[in-house]
Amino acid sequence: MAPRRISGRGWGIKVTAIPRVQQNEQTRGQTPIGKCCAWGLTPYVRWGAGAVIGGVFLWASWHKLVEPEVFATAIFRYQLVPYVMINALAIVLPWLEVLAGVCVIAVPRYRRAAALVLLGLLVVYTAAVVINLVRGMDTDCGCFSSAAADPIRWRHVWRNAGFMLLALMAFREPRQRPACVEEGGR
Amino acid sequence: MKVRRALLQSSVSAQVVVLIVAAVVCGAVASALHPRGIPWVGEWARRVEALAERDGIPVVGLARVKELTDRGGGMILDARSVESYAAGHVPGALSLPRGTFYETLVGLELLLSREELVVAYCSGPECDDALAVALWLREQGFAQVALFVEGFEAWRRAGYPVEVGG
Repeated sequence: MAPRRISGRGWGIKVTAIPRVQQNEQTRGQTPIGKCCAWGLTPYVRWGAGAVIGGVFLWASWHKLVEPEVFATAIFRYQLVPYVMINALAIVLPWLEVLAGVCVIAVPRYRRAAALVLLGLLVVYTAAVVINLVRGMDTDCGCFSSAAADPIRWRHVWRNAGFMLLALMAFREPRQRPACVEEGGR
Repeated sequence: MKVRRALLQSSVSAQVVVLIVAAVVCGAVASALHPRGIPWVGEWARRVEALAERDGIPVVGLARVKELTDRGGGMILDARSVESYAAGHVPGALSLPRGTFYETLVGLELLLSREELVVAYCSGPECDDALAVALWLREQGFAQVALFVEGFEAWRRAGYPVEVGG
């Protein structure tokens, strides 16, 4: 039996219902795990998305941990943060990236919280880039490498939008949606 | 065990708080142990001036720059972008945006002598473009390089004449 297309809730994205499955009294009303979930994402896909975004952040955090002063200067050059907060952010943010990056990959219970943290970081970083692009400031990105000059451009915004999508995929609730159960699992 | 269970079973928002607190703790420990660790509060307001001091670039004030534009005796360089320069700059200043050093060196050598006083400025006390230009000029053998650290902001605020166009 071919999968039927039904409308799920997630921002108008179609959720594909799974074919009819055998169910007994215990499993009635439930959907087999890994078959029908939010956005049609299996746990593997969600974990994969989280692993990619977690890896990106682990990689990005490295130079910030090794050279806190360089990262502080990068924050300073964005000219958005009060001066008293620059160093504190330069000390804490890399560790937040590391912890969330590790958790989204390797700590299933913390996966959603970690994905939410990464999503928040991406939103803040991207907002900073957009503000300075609009202001016409030729700030260095300070995103990945401290050595190479990487002035902010709109491509950074599009790239971050992609990262945000990955973080959002990792954040999605694994709980099955009623629509899936009704349409596909009955 | 209670703590462990609480950490593992808490809601997403509580877990977010746990992650943030853990990051603060890790940051504090790492910052204390890091050989090039930074203090929690840095002196950013006077950062450019402090860097200039450290690197031995003399800092000149608004009055000195005004004197240069009125009576000559030195060259003024604008380290901001070409667009900012065109929108308005200190009269008589030359445009030398950071990052175009090597393209403009030949032209500069025709315009300036290496013994002449050269003063660089950018938008204000927080930009370090002028400092970068000053350091580079000194590297190229210019003997008297100075930094107008208050920058164009102070010039405009003082109500001094502004030259428009490139």
